[in-house]
Amino acid sequence: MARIIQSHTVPGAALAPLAPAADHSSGIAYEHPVQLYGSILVPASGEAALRGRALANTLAKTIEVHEIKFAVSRVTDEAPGQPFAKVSMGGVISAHLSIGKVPLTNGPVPIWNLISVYSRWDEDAFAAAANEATSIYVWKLARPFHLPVGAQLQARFRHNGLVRQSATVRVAVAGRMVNRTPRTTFAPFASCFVGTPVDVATALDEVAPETALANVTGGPLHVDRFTGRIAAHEPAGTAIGGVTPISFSDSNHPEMSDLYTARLLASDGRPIIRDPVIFRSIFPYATAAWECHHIMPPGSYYTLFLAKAVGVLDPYAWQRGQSFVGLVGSREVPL
Amino acid sequence: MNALPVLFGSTISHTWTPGANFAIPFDSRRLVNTYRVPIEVTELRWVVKNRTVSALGILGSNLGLLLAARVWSGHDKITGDNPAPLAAFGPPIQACRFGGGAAGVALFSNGEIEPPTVIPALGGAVTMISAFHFRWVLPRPMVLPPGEAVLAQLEANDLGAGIPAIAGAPFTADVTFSVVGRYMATPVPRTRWVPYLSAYQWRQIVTGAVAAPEARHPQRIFQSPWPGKTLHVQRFLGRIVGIYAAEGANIDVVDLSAEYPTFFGPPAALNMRVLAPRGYAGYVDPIPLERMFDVQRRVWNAPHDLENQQDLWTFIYENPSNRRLPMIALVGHREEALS
Repeated sequence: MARIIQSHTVPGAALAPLAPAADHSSGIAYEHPVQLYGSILVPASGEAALRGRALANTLAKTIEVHEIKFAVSRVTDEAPGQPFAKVSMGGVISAHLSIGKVPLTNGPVPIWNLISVYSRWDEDAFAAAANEATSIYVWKLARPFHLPVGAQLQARFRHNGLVRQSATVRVAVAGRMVNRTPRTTFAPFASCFVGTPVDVATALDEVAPETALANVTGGPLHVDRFTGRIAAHEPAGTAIGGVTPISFSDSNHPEMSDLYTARLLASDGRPIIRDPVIFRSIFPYATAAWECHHIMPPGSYYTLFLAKAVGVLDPYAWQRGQSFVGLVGSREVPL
Repeated sequence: MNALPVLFGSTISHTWTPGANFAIPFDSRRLVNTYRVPIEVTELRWVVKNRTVSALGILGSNLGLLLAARVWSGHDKITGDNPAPLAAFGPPIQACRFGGGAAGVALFSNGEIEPPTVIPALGGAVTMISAFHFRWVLPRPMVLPPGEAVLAQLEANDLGAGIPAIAGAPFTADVTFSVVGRYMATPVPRTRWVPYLSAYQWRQIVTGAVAAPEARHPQRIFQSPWPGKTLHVQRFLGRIVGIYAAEGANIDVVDLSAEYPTFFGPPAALNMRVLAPRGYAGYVDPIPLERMFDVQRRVWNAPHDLENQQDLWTFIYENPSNRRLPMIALVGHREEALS
């Protein structure tokens, strides 16, 4: 009898739906659901890697992974009753994931750029002072990937320093055991461009470097979606290193996103977004993602042109904006 | 399926005055297929931002109910005879509204559920930004040949002179219309599937009690008007437009279908009946509107075919107030020849 590992229940995160117990055409039999789990404290402005074999497949069978779940917590220190103390930690913490020599991210990718919005309510963390506020993100994989016996998901997290609290990152890898290991699997892959933080009253033109939204996997990348967020953050509270916003979110004051327009070109010159289009038209608020399945050739990249208009400062507007645009997909790799 | 995606769109910024209305076209140069290959259009999107800065007016309103559009591509109509309210273009699960409210209070919502907003005065003016997103995933992708455009024009949705407070209240909005699709690797086919959205907004219904007369929409609203063509109906969409006095002199226009059932009282007295073509039995007996349509999405999935010149009729009964106006839409698609 195989074990069901679920050392910690992640609130708000559901197990992937189970397929029939056996696929008679391939001879694969599906067994118990399984969940691997690990957690790490990431200091403000610092980095930390998940230690040990927390996300290793120590079972006797291959795990077919359906989703990777992140719960990112901070202990709030806002004064009681202070407004706008809202932080979506997925924009603060970036994940650098790999399995052995197979990268799952192109460098660190902010966690909220891995997903289309699962639940806004779960993303934005509120809590009274000195309590833990948790943001939850669920990366549902378009195709499951297989974690063979002995393989390990390695995770390193980076804190961008834009909120002053350290963060506890909890990772759960959810799937099920299978009795047969296929010869190849679809490893997820994500890449991201993180723009420059800029005051609301300042105009900005940015071009993503060719390495940002790039297929560096060496094979064709099956792109599932683009993800896009405009963070609004407020310089307030105790400053560390000049500026430390007390709030960081893409939902509380989305008028910040109204200031941004974007164009997107493929590296072969073909336009994807030909004329500048407002950011929210590309990335709806409800999902923060553009689901557009297509294949990206190896070595190709997308060139993103972002323009931010001058906004109006008022006592209630969040003061700085920052763009996050990512692409998420998967590619076939041998096991 | 694996071709490169595309997205193009155009924005209008304008101040509309309901009752003194004219249509504003979107910039067609932004909406034409200049990609040199056919494009498979999969979605039409609207983003509406309320830019009204006024002490009076409709600050807390759902602008998807106050703006309506006509959309077409080449000779093929995508919307019906009447301009379709933007709120008819997508179930509200795909829409949102958000805004900065009073100091210290952030207001936003995944749906269109929004409490009446107390607007803070900032420097003597009243500010409010709210936005709505409506996303129509087409029943079947539509081929857009090179050089052809998806054109749209926008006007204020006429809710009728029976709503005098609305009739004279100007509002300013930025409206972005976007076309989403993908490159096609194949030549232009001989025919294409063209989506169809026909909506009807009841303007005035006699206020009254149980014995109020039934109200019926004009002919051709829910019809397959193309000779020899079958309209493949995908779904109906229904909303109840509610109009109420808000803070100060503001008037809010909201979708009551599933919102504030306790605040406003149940809209159950708005009963509706749908009759099938030419003497068939009624599709449904009169039932409350909010029961006919999925409460969350305001949608009734009802796939069926309407042959040429066949009509569906909808009736509204027992309206308790002329401040509740039903809006019904039909969504489907038909096959059209490409020249």
